[in-house]
Amino acid sequence: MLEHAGMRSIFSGIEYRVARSRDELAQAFHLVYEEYLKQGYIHEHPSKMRLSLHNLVPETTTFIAKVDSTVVATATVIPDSPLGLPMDELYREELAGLRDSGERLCEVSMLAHSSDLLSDKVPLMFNAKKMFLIFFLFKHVFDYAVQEEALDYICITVNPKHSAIYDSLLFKNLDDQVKYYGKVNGAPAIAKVLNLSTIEQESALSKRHNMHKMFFSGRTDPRRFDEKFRFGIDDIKYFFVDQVNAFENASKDEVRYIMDAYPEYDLSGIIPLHMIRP
Amino acid sequence: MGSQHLERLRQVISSDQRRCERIELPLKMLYASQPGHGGQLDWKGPVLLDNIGGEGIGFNSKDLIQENEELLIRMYLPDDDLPAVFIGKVVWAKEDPSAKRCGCREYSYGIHIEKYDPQTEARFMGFMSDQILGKYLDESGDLKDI
Repeated sequence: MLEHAGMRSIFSGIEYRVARSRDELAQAFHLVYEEYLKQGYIHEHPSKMRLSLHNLVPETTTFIAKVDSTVVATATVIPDSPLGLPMDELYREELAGLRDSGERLCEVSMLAHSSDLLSDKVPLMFNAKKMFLIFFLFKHVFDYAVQEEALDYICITVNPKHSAIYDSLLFKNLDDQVKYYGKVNGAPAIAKVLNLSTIEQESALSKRHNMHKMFFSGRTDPRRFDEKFRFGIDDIKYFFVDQVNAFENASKDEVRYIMDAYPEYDLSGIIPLHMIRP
Repeated sequence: MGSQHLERLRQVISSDQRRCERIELPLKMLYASQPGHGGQLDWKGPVLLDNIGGEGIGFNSKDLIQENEELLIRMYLPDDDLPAVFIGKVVWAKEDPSAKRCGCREYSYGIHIEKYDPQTEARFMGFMSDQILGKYLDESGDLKDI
């Protein structure tokens, strides 16, 4: 009986993996929208989805935590590409140092969990259920970045009120200055980075033995990363044209990159070229 | 039928009223009443904690402290060179009946953590989250069924 279940029983019913279908992706985009709206980060939008052109980069990968057929938490890994990272809007100069050194970057973005399931008021680092719900997702993201993509840094922008959480997870400030993010209604943001090549050693030295065990005692089964959903031309039209006009502020170079990324499709028929800046 | 587990999960989570995990840890701490302007801090202790959570602590002391009083607290975390420093507010106080039986007076206090020292918050979070993980993870890093 789950009513009297221990932690293992509770979490045995939650499936963590990459999104594998249009429905799972739509649910993830909807969950991010709902939770960002509750936080006041975005305005209402008729699509009730939160997504951008970065989601159309083929290497972008959305992770989900799924219970039965419902997505209850999600995070998206956006590897660097000719589109850059979403945080380039604020931190291009600060990221340049890492890029110039040849480091392979990704941004973890669109992180959300169902506040119907676990309230936002429950503190992540002090509540076991919330911690495991999110940490298992982080563990998948982390292992994917290391095992599958061989990335060097995870970058993230967070609201300064959550800064201590990421500091305690051994993220470092990319820049100490708080900036204000237009993408989330001008909310304050601070940029953090996690060095993937040194984190295991840092973690071992931190004397947080259980945290180390959580993230380094085993590797995620690589099958969790298999069968990632790949957009068909109908999906591209549905998400990025009909639901959210993700091409609205795209440059010609960005559109060209996306078209080249999907050479099997004739995207010229669905991208509203008249909306592209000259 | 398709969402049975989700509904049960909701029930389990909503039936749990605790926002924060409580852990019984006998950590040492000192406390002092907040001084007025120019006042000196009169540190009391060390006392041992009964329990600790992300938002509060419980401890016993022979000193009588009034409810709603604000205390400056200095707590010593294992494996940490610096003390964790924060301001706490006495949210409940009661005489400990077990001490009375021994012919002495002792009081139990519940303290709500109001504000962390800027150097403390991330270290305290790291420490507490590690303790919570330790309660639920076995040696190989898998979840225990407790």
